[in-house]
Amino acid sequence: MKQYFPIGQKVYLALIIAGGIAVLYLTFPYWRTTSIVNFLIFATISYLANILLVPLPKFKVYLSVASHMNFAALFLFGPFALWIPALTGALPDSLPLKKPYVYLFNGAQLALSYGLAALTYYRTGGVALAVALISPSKTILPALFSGLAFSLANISLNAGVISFDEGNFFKVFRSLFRWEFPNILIAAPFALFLAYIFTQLGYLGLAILLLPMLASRYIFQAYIRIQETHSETIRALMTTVDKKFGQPGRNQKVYHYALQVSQSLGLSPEEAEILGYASYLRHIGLIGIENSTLELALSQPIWSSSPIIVNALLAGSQILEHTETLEKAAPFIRLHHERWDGTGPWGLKGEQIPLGARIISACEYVEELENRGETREEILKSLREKSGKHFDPRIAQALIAIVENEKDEKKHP
Amino acid sequence: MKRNILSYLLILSPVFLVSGWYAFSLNPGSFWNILLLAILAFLLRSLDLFYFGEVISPACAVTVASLFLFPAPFALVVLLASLLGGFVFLRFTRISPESFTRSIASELGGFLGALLLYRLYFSAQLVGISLRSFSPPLLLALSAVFAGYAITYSILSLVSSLLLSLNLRDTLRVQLSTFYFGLYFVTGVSLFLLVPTYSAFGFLGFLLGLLPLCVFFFASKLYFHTQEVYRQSLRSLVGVIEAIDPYTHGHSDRVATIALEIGKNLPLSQANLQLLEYAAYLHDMGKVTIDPAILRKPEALTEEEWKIIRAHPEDGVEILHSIKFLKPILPWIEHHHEKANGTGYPSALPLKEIPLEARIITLADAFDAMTSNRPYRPALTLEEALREIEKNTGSQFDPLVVKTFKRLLKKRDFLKVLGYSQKMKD
Repeated sequence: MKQYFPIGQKVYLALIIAGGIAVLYLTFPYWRTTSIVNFLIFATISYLANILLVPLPKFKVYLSVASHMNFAALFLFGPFALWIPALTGALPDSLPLKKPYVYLFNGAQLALSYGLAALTYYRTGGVALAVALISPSKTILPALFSGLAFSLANISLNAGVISFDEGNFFKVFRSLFRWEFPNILIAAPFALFLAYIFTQLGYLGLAILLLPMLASRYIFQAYIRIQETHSETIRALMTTVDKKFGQPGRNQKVYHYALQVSQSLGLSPEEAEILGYASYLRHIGLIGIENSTLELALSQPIWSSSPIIVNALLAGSQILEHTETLEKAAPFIRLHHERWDGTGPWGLKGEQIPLGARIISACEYVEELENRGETREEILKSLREKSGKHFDPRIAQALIAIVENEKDEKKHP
Repeated sequence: MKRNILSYLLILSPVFLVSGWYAFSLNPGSFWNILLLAILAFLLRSLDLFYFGEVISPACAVTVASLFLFPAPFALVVLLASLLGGFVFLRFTRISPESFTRSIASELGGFLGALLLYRLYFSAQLVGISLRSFSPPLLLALSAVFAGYAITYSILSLVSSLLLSLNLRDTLRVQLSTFYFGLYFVTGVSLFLLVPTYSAFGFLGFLLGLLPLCVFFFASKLYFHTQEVYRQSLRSLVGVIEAIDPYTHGHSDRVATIALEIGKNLPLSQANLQLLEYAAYLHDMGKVTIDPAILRKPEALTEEEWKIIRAHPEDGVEILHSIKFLKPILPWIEHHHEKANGTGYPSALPLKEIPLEARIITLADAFDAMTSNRPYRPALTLEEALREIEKNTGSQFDPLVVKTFKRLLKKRDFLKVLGYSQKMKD
């Protein structure tokens, strides 16, 4: 949040905080309904759940049982349980209480949302399950309604804050709605279930349900660590290849162009990632060549079809072929010296050459000319000449635009 | 493989149909419940975990719960659906048919054992049981299931020790120690959560109770898969070294296998074992920076060239130091050419200061080098290599590691893993 707020935001903040405090104040009559110990234990679990998020790596979201615990407390102990999220939900974001108003605001926002949820639950026929147990089927609908009310209130309040920065309340609301809504709709029945389990089995039941979640968190973290290690290992290898051939930074340049071409051709981020691996590791096969031969090989233009180079490309792609992450880069590496008109080492023509190989071929060429110290005009000229002969005209055109743009950027920094 | 599954289906489907029909004729009212549980058990098989050759499945929770919720024929239908699912989803995994058959046998046996033991004392099902505490029937049910598994595992050990002429005590120890935590956990969740929730809230409650367990299995599956992918990646990336030095073909792979086996028999934590395997794959990574001409040279090397070769442990550290998670293996790689008498390179450390993992890699590395062909000599036989190792124990190799290794060599499984067909003569 910014240091100085315009007056509109100040009023909004003040209104929400006042509303939240009012809702919390209204629940005081219900305090007598349960033991303070249960309240404290639920508050602790909710707080811990807020810190110990479970990352779901494939979907790039975090799973937390905090909202389930909050709802369960609401269904179990009565409306006053909305104090739990109001107190704990805001804490992790603002724990060094540097900005008390952030804490106040977050707490008030949660108090309002859960307050509405509690009101809906208890007005549509729900009962405090810890006090009077009734059949589960009778509370499913109130629980669903309460989840619905919560998600609408919570999403509106969040959208209200965000739209101060990004404008257009309804657009923000829609994008939040798409993710939040199904989430809460599932959370409400699960919370009801948690509440019932608690009435039946007490804290043992909660433990049996929550411990697998905690274990999953640990395992998901290990999973993420392994994935990071994997990409770091590949990167370490790329750096080594870079160093070995004495020209660090050149592969980076090729990647830079390949990325831009892939953007202007509309490739997906996954495809761009593979292009990245291919542009860094494309000469990994050269590592097996003795230094004396290597010098000779490197003194020729890098796109040459000499047997040494072609064999090295083949060897390099064979190394990568058995890796799940890198196998898609292997054909790009093997075939990136092919030419559009079929005069390359394997004689592939036009669309027969994989798109990635065509992109890297052109980008490598531009980088090579740049490295020789040719001017932009010369590079553009040779690109135009070779378009349709060595290079895919579509890619050559994209590259020409990119190189021209870079010139403009240099002129007007 | 395919015929295996087909014949299995052929045997299974009549049993499935007959018992299903029988179950249905007993009480037509619960047909849908049984069908739902059977489908659930079938589908949950897709979340099976394979851990050190053992299978653990969330479907187990469903079959155990159904055992205590319904009359035996119903429970059998659910169990059969689970086994069927196991075979269908097996096709998408890389587990060996033997260990899968073993797990099926143990599941079936444990199930029937539990059924017998429990029903001998209690004719009633656990439906409608009070949930307020650890009631005696629940505890008894739990111990019946565990006893059933234990009996099955013992029988399995006996059979496999007879068939493979292995030491019964060893097999029993291995079998019972892999009669692991996961099984207790899944069965416990099943009995203390799923049985009560099913009797209280029906199928929906059952599903919700299973949800956290499924998230856990899903997470573990993802993790094991990624670990496997990383291992594959390492294996093919060290192919770079083999591209330089064709004589070392498969070297890193074998060193990793040997080092891991030795490590399992020494007091190393599970986390360090995993790192040890990675370190063994990467131990020669530094060779990537060396001119291949030196590595391929069949003649004696000059002093200058030796210097370059001796730098490879440190070069490896240089390459790998940016990988956060692999930080602990850097000293192991740096010191894998140290000697027990303190004359190794690069630091000439005394035995006590060389990390245990590095000492393991040293031996695995040397053993594989001795038993492979080299430009200047043919491969040694197993006996010759062992004699060579014994000769250098204490000077080059750590006596503790050598002792563990020699014990391993006596096991037939270990040699099979290494690709030796002959059995060691004592």
